[in-house]
This record gives sequence, C-alpha cells and structure tokens, in this order.
Amino acid sequence: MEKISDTQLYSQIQARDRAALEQLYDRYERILFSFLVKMTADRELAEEALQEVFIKLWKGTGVFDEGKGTFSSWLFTMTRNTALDLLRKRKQAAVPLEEAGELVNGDASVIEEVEWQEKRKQIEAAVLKLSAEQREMIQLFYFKGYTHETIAEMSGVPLGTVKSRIRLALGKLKKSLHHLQERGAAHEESGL
Amino acid sequence: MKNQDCELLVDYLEGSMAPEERDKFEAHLLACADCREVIEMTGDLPYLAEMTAPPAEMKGRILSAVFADEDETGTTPEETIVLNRQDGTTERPVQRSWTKYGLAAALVLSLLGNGYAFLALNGGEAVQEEEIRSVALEPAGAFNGAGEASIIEGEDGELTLAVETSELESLSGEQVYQVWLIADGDPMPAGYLSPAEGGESTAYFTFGENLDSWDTVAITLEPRYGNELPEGEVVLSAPL
Ligand SMILES: [Zn+2]
Repeated sequence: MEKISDTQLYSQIQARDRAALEQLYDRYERILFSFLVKMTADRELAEEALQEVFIKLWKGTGVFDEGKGTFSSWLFTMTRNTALDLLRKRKQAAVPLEEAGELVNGDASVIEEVEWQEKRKQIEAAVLKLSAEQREMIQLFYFKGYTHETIAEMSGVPLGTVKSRIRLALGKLKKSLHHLQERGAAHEESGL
Repeated sequence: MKNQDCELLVDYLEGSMAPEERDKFEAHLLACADCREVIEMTGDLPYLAEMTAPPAEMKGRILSAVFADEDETGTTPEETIVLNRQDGTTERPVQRSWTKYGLAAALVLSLLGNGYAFLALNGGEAVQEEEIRSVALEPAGAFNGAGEASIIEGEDGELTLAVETSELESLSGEQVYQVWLIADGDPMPAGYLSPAEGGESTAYFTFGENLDSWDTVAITLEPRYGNELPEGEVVLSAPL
C-alpha cells in the first residue's frame, strides 16, 4: 500500500476527516514535540504549543499552499511561530545568552528514527562548518526566538551588525547544506 | 542580486512583520532565489532537535482538545459515584461532571482500538497481552493529576487492571494513593500508586476473568496503606 502523502492528509483534514488528523499527528508528534522542547526548554509549554498547532490545523487557520514549499517546512514554520507567540505572551524574560543552550548537543539519543537521524547528520555536518558565533546566532534567533533587537541589546553589538550576522549565518548554512545534499545525491546515483 | 529587501528576511523569520510588509516581502521571495532558499533551509532545522519522547497521554489530551469544540452538546449532566466508605456512611456521592471525561474516554478508546497489544512485565518476562478497554481518569474538583485505566486480558484469560497516572500531587507522611474497583457502590482495593518525582506511577491488579459487575475505577488519597474501605477523598475516577 502506497503511503499517503502529507498533502493528501492535509486535504482530508480540510474535509473534516478526524482519522486523517490523527494520522498526521502520529507522523509529526515526535519531531514537533522535540523541536518545541528545544525551543521552549519546557515540556508543558511544548505540549501547549503543539495543541495550538493541531487546533489551527483542524480549524483551518493558516492555509498551506503547495506553491510555497513543502508541507513539513510549512508545518515547522507554523509550529515555530505558535511557540514564539506563546513565549511572547508569557513575556518570559530572555535567559542570558550563555544559558540559551548549544545549537548542537553531542549526546543525542541513539533511538532516533532513521529518517530523522539521516537529516540530522546532514544538517549537523553543515552546522559544523559555521563559526561558533554563527552557530550561536542560529540557536538564539531560530530556536530561542530572540529578536535581533534582543540579541543586540544583550550582546552589546549594534543592531545592523546582528541582523547581517544572522543573515550571513543562515546563508552559509544553506550553502553548506546544499553542497552536502548534492554530494549525497551524487553518491546515491553512483551507487556507492 | 542583493537588494534592500533581502535585509528584511530576518524580520520575516521573526514573524513580527505587519501584514502589508509581509505581503511585500513575499512578493520579493518570488523574485529572489537566495532568500527563498534560506527559508526552505529553515525547514530542515527542526531535525537538529534532540529527540524527546512525548508523554504517553499527550496524544489523547491534545486530540480531545482539538475535537472538543464540535463535540460540545450543551448539556452537562452531573453524575455521582456512589461509594460505601469506612466512616460508616454507606453512600457518599461525589459530584462531578462527566462531559469532559466522556469525550476523552471515547477518544482514548478510538485511538487505541481493540487490537492494541502491548508488552507487560510479568515476573520479569515479557508476554503478549491484549488491552480490551481503556478509559481516561478524570480528576475530581481541583485535584491536579491525570491518568488512564486499562483492562488487559492475559493469555490465560485473566483480567488485569492497569492504572497509569502522571503529574499526581505529591504525598506527605504515610499517605498513599489507593486504587479501587467499584461495583454498585461497593469498593474493592485494587492496588496502590506511589508517585515518584514527576508524579508518574503505575499499578497492576489482577482480579479474575469477569468484568461485568465492576462499573467504576476510582483513586482515593488514603492516610495510610492497607485500608479495606476508602477513608479519603476520591481524586481520580472513571466509569468502566
Ligand atoms: Zn532576497
């Protein structure tokens, strides 16, 4: 039996199919929960955000458009924005930069799902090509949801400089990831 | 290639742009592959997260919240648990609303299905058993805690009540959470829960081959081990 695609599930959800929502939930529960725990460092808040995400999906708040990229990217963005809203609503003071955690953390669980593990390996390799400062930018900006204003304030670096550092870090990560993915694809094609 | 609009990528990812600004930037995205690719790349970033196992009951909680809106019937029937107690009172009704419970339980049932088989530890050996029923335990009043009760049929046809709880309020002194099976108001002791840090605890109780007379499972907060009849208040319960 062919595995039903995310976009097919998404259109069934729009047609009020509960089983489809449950299936999508099963598919994304682990990655979204893990992502939210990394962002919020708070399991309860992570659950609250995850619930919000699935309520939005069910109510049709925010519409996925195939023209704008993959379903998973859309879902991750929606999840991240939901968590950022929750964090901002709680007006949690940003924790000091040095306590914000590391972008990559050596002691990953060995029981990760294969697909996840493969993606993680690839993106970790790309992350390792960044400077420590660039890694910090991505951890603070993308995962911790610090605005560039906050980072500037906390690090005493001018606003414009922070903004371009974030952009450069993201751009470099994109380049190294593309490079690795192309190499990976060539590797597969050559059958090695 | 690089233009002023590219600078707005950071603001866009911050999710704090005004709608008209956002529309303008999305128009820029159509023309600028560089910005578009960065945004696509962020779709891989969540895979950097270390895997965190989701709590077992989270799925039930979330899906019942998601579907809650349309399940609301508008009626909230008050029901009571009848429980014969140690202090001489033959009945002590516990007022509560079952509406929320009904939802969650129906959902848990539909999620687990009938063929849900799992491994239970039995004398250190893993054996295949079948879950024949599972209900969500609903807290009474302002009690903090959640749980799930399941009836499991072993290979020998014997039924076991498994009660799994999370986030139970912590205990003091000799206090203990006691599980009861109730038939028409008459309780039978059915195990104890001693939540560790984090409030998680599981109790197993094998009670025979027949479920028919047991209509309710309840957890009470007892002052000590060994009560044959409940002394304390019901904190969690569900009809079977
Ligand atoms: Zn651009």
